[in-house]
Amino acid sequence: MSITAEPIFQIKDFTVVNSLINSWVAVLVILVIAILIRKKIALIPKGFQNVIEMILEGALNLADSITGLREKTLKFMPLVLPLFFFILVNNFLGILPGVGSIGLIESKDGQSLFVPFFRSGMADLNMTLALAIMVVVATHIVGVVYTGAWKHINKFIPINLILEIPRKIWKEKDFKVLLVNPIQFFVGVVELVGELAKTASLSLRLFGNVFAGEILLGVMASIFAYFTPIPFLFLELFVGLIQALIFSILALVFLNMMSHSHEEAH
Amino acid sequence: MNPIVETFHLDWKLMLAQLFNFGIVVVVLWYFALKPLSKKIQERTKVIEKGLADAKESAEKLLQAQKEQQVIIQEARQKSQQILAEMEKDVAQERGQLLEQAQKEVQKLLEDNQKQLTAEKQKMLVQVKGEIVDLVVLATSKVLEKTVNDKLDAEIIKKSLSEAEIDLKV
Repeated sequence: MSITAEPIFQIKDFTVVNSLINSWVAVLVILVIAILIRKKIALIPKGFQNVIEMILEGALNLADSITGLREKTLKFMPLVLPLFFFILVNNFLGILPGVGSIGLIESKDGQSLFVPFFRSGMADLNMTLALAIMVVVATHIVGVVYTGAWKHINKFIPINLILEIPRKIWKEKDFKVLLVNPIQFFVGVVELVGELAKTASLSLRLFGNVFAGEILLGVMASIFAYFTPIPFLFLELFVGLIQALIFSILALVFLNMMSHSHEEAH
Repeated sequence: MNPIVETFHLDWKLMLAQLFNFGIVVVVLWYFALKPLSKKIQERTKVIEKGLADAKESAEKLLQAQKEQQVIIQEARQKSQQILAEMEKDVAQERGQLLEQAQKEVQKLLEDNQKQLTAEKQKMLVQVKGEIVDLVVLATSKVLEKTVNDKLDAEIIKKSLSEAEIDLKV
């Protein structure tokens, strides 16, 4: 199995890969479920609506334990909850029979290569990286909205620390700032690097786990196709759920962290 | 950076396409599920809260109504007793007046009867007296027709009359 998503067809200069097709299917599944939810919604809940409300209430309570405020939870949930369901559905679709096993054998450079039509959306770094970048950008937007642009920029590039050095020296005769403020400035810059690390860790963790799961299932199926993969399929279901939960909870934690000012955070 | 891009086939167009897919999920979930569901839950919460508030208010009103009922019953009982007492008093008074009036009327009737009887008696006496006189005259005249003269006759009559009058009074 290739580490990258395999191209399936071309639309002008845009290459449609198998992970993107899987992602479209995931969108379709979510759309159908969402429409079903919309149709079933009633003032007195029954069956399916009860389950959905239970999940929603559970998610809100979990998010409350992170944000500490229901008001804040409700503001972040429109981003975090779809993130969870999108990753979850993509992960579960990746386990379905046929995904990764139905495709074409193509010959490339004299070698025959198997190209599956479907590949789990999260087993493509393009997808996980896109989501991670989107989350990090969203955290910075939240930071600017909640703390103000100047305070937020100073979290990463502490210009205010450099600007206050002359005042502290001439007026307050505080010479410590000559040592402390440059260090703090450097810490701020390190935080900026941390943002890149955040993006990398978010994307690589999800990609790594899902891709490793796909490899594992492939290997197990190649050892003994009928019974050996069954426990690993359950394991992958569990991993798919856990990874979706980890990604969305981390997104919520980062969003919540950015909604506090630097002083509050410390 | 290039080796990473080449190894993982990172493609910004593909990333945008995946983000677009995620954007659709966000919109779909928000529009079809989260928003209407949250709205319905809030609506239900309001209905439940209103129901609980109404139930509490009803219970309070019931309690108040029961208290008012007790007060009204108590007042009605007192009033009925008062009315009964007044009625008994009025009836007794009325009865006394009626008795008194009846007694007066009976007394009056008795007196009237007495007077009428006396008058009748007087009338009868006068009548009887006249008839007695006539009888005495007639009897005396028949007895003494041939033996007594007119002068004696008159004296006898006179004497008889005076005796008869005495007898009648007795």
